[in-house]
Amino acid sequence: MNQIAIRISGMTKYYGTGPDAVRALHDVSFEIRNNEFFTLLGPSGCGKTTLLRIIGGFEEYSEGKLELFDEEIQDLPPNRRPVNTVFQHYALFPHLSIRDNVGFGLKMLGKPDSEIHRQTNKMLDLVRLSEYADRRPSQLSGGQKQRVALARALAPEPKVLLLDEPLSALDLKLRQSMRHELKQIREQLGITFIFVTHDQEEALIMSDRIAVMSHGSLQQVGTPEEIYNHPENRFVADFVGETNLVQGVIRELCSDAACVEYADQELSLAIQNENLFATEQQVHLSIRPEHINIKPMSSESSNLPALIKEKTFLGTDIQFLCRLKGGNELTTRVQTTTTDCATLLPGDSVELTIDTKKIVLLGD
Amino acid sequence: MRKVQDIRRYQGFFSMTLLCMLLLYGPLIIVMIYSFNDSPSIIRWEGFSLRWYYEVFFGLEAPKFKKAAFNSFSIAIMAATTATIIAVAAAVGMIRGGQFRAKTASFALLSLPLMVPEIVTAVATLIFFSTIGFVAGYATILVAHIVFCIPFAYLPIAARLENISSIYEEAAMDLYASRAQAFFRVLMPLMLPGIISGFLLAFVISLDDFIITNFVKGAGVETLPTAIFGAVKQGIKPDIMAISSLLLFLSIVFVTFSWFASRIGMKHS
Ligand SMILES: Nc1ncnc2c1ncn2[C@@H]1O[C@H](COP(=O)(O)OP(=O)(O)O)[C@@H](O)[C@H]1O
Ligand SMILES: [Mg+2]
Repeated sequence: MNQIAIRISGMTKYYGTGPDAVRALHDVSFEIRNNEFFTLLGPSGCGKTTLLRIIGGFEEYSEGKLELFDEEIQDLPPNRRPVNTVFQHYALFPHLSIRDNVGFGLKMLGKPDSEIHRQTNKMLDLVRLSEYADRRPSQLSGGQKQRVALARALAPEPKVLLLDEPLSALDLKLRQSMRHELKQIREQLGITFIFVTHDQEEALIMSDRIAVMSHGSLQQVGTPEEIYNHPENRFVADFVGETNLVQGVIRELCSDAACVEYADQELSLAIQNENLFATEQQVHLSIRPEHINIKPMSSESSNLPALIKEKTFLGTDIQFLCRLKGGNELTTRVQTTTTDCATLLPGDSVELTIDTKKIVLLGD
Repeated sequence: MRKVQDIRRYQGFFSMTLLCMLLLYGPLIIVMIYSFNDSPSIIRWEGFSLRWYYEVFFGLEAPKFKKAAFNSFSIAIMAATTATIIAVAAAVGMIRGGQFRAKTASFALLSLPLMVPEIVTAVATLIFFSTIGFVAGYATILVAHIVFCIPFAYLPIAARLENISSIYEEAAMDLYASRAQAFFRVLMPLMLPGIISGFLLAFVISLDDFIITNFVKGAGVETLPTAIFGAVKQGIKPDIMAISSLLLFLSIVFVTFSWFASRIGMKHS
């Protein structure tokens, strides 16, 4: 069950040579388990497509090792790898019908016509496009093309499916239903999906595990909960979800806790590894907006006093931007239905309570 | 309402257009009209008749023209086919080959025949053939035509290929196609309109070439243009107009097909 589908070690990739070379990947190492929905997440230009193209066999790499089920596949051309791709812009063959597009892979594998026919029908059923079998790609909508691309890549039953931002060209509603559909299809077929996206929400919703990348380097690998609740560095904390990244100073340190001074307050925070920190060290705190409570100022409080600067209505939530005494700003978010804060307005004095158990202390 | 920048608002636009049209197409139209003239004179109109067309096919000189026509068409088909195959290979190499040394030089070499005055090519080709001791005749014409047809076939094919993303070949290879299968099953069909267009253009260019053909043809081997030229030297007869009109008609048909072919599928890609 926990077999490793893909192992990438020390992967480095340069485009071009000499002084003009662009480093697209830098010493990337991680493992993708069999039957996993694995997501590569990062901003545009961070090297996600490059990594996917290396796995697909379309791009060579400068250093490192790539293993598929414990077998090095460096020298295999794309047509010899049991890996299929759903390309970002679909890349459906415009001169072939939908049926022939979906059956293309099986035909190239030399399968008999009867099997091609059966498998093609099965795949078209899976993506609910059976009535469109005889049309051309140009006669389909964006969402339908997307599903054909999926069916075409799944038809030869690859061991690993690569998806390069497959949903980014679709509108919001379609994207949401396709997320659901993709997840279901993967569970139904039980194959490894490697999914590329720059949309952190999409990554959190769909993935078993996520690899966060930035500027060609791997930042963190983990489950959506780990990535969201325990980011390992500032980039991950900032990129995944919304957060307040603020600076503080460590005043005291013991084996499992640190006392951090922030905005004239001493916050006692749990830490995992004291060796990462030192007393008097400048650190960053990541405080999620939903972990800060806000209420109207009352006289006998010891909480953080603040002034509301901006109020934003977000539907189910209300977001406040608050200014603290020292000039620091914090964003807080509360649910519209469970709060008496709906009447608060910019300029009002409030007090904030931070759930210190949820604060993440970041060394760098 | 017309836009301010509309070229039709310039003064003299209409008369200029008329003048150009007249100079370009006037002579052609006159030749076409007089090919139906029921008179041996080429300037006096004496009523409609098809006698000169009959003369072309069944007259005294018909065997000569038929032989020339056979030479012209067989050479055009072979030259255009060969040139198209070479042009496809060249286009794939130039456009899919990435950056390689002498790429610009290769392109210049490919399109050289378009820029060098034809008479220079003609003389050079003649010198080349006589230097290597190739006997002038049908084969020399064919070889020369293949060479100067290549750039004409290349241009529409390359233009087409430039607009085909390499993602399709990658998708084919991702789906287990070998390089050859990706080429024949995906890239070729996508390039086909360009290939047809290039072939037709090369065919027409070969069909009506005169200068080079006249230099490299041996004695006794004629193509249609050289045969017409030979006949005209003994005085212009209306049957020449009939042949010319037929050739013109054929060229228009081919060029039109070529144009439509190059536009097939433009909307989709
Ligand atoms: N063919 C290429 N030649 C040169 N540089 C490239 C090429 N492809 C990508 N790059 C560069 O490599 C980096 C990573 O690109 P890419 O993998 O496409 O990022 P992403 O998919 O995460 O947006 C970018 O800086 C990009 O400019
Ligand atoms: Mg990308």
